[in-house]
Order: sequence, then C-alpha cells, then structure tokens
Amino acid sequence: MRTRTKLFIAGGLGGVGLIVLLVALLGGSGIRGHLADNYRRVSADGDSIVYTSNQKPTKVYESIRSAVSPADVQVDPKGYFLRYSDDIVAVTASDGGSRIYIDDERRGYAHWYPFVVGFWGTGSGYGEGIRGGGPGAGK
Amino acid sequence: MRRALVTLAAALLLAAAPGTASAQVIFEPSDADDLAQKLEDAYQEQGVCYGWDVDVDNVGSQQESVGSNFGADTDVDDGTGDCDATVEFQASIRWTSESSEIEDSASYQVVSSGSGPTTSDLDSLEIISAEGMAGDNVGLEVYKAVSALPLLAAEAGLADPIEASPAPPSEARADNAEPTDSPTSDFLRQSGGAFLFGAVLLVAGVVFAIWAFRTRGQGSRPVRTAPPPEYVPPEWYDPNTARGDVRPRPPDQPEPGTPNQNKTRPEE
Repeated sequence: MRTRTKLFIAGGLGGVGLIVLLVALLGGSGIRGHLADNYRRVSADGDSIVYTSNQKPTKVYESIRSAVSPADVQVDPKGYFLRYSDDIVAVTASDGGSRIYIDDERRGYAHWYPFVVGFWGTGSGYGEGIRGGGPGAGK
Repeated sequence: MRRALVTLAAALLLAAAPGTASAQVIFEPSDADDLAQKLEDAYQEQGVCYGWDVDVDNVGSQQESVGSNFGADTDVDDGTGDCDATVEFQASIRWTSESSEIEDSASYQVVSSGSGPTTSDLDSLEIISAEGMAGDNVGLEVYKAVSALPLLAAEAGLADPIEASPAPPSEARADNAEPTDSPTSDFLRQSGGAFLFGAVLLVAGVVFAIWAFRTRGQGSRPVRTAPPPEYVPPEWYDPNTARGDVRPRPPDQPEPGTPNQNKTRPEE
C-alpha cells in the first residue's frame, strides 16, 4: 500500500472521529434546552421553570424521556418524576394537559419529596425498605 | 402399587395446598402499605380499583404477593367498595436455586376491565422488564409499575387524571429531606457512546498516520539500476540484444551525424 493511500485512510479515520466527537460535544442541548424548545413556558423563579403542554402526562413523559434520557424515573399516581444529574423534572396532569416542572436537584427534591423521598435522598417516606430478588437473584 | 398410590396422594396434597399469600413476598410491610395507600388515594379520586397479584415460585415454594386500594394482602376482587372499573398488575416470578442451571424468569401483564390500559401501555413507560423482575429489583419494579396504573388509566380515558402541585419547601426542611443519590452524568448518558466512538476513531487515525510515516518507502522503493558503462568492449557487444538508446555503441560504430570519436580501450 502506498504511503499516500495510508495517509488518506488515516485522515479519513481521524476526520470522521473528529466530526463524531464534535457532534457528541455540541449536539445535545440537555434537558433544560429540550424543555425550552418544545414546551410553553408558564413561569420561572431562578432555576425553577414551569412549562405546559396540551398533551397528557404519559405522552409528555415519553417524549421527554426519549429525547433526553434520565438517570432514574419514579412514578406515582399523580405524575412522573425524572432524575437528571443536576435537575429534577416532574410531569403532572393539569387542565386536561400537563405541567412540566424543572428545578435544580435540591429545590426539585424539596418540591417533590413526598414522591421521591427514600428513592433519591433522605427523609422519611416511601420505598426505603423495598427489597428485591430471591434466592436466585443475580444469577 | 400401594407405594405408588401413597406417592400420588402426597403429590396431590402438595399441589392442592395453598401457597403463602402475603404482600411481603416482594415488599417490606411498610412499602406494601404505602403502595396500597397510593392506590386508595387514586381510587378516591378516580373511582377505579387498582391492585397487584404477583405469584412467586421460590425454589419450589409457592408464594403470592397481593394488594389493592383496599389494602395490602387484599385482592382487588375481594374488596368491599364499588369499582367503576378494575385495573390489576399480574405477574409470575420463578426463582430457582443457586445450584440450578435454570435461570430465574418472570412475566407480567396488565388486566383491565373495559377499555383500560394494556400491558403494552405499561411497557411503553420502560419502567419494568421481565429481566428486571427476575433480578434484584423485583420489588422496586413492581412498585413503580403498580404506581403507574392510575396514570395509565387516565391516559386510556378510563378515569380523570389526578393533579399534583409542588410541596412547600418548608415540609422538606422539616423532614431534613435532601438528595443524596449520585445520578450518572447527563452528558455521558446522552453522548458517552458517540464520544467514545469518535475518540477511538480519532486515535486510530493518528496511530495509522504515524505508522504510515514510519513505514514510508518500504516495499515501494524503485529498483536502482547500475548506470550503463562508459565503455563496452567490441567483443562483448551483442547486436541481437543491444538497445541503441541505452547501451553505448561499440567503438567502431560512431553515432550517426557525429564525427568519428571512437573510444579505444585504454592500454594497460
């Protein structure tokens, strides 16, 4: 193989790798960008923002989850709660549609702690003793 | 014959014996009560009855976890309230012994009256899987799945959705509630795979380029040929193989159009 051919292949590999890297670094807008781009803003208080949607909570939850994958999800009869690295998103029913709340993790945990306590942090509440697995668990 | 009859009778008795029915098969008692209370709150709002029924084959020992809006350990069909509709999460789990070659397994379904939610509706939430139920997270996955039933019922039009508002921060402060978990990075979760793939491609390109430079010329170097001699003895000259443009002409044959400048063999 000639040197020019080798260098052409090396350049192709490096170029594609560089493009993929740039897309990975610059491509995602994060959960806050996704909500701002796709839902109607109702109110804001610092990092706490409320959006609204005409869609029902389950559809909104599925849309958000598929666009920006959360680290964890908690479900309650009253809504969906999505955990991101720095934020907490809640999707609840409202006037035939949905309300979407996003807060930083501390304020979000305080706002929704009756629903997420015991799962994502301290406090007395649900889920603290949920156990899993049986004798064969983890096989 | 008699021994065979006794064995058959014992097997029938074992099969007919009721398994253990308790919500605590997969939940701690407090969590089973919490879940039943959630369903009760939903029932009060929606008029729909919700419940769960999970059969567990625990290394041959039959156990059952049941509960509903009527309480932990109470089957949704055994409740005393009126139900506009019924939605129940049903599952079957088989735990085998550590020494068994048979893997643990699980299956589940959502059974609704009328046009209620279906198993595929639950699957679309991606909060439960058969593999997860057979593993370490069975309690948590069933808890989430059962908690989602009122949401799915509202989505299916079986009942009105239940609204919720943020709690006052004072409640959380009073309970010393704060997040203590360590969620994975959003960037790594979203773009980690692409980032790694791009980095590998980039490094591969650089390594390939370095290799290409280091091996430059090897295998493709032109073959060096010796320059034609200045003098060819006439007796060596073979007119059958001579190429006029490469080899010098013999000394007795001057080039056309040039004066005779025959080279003579140097005297020794």
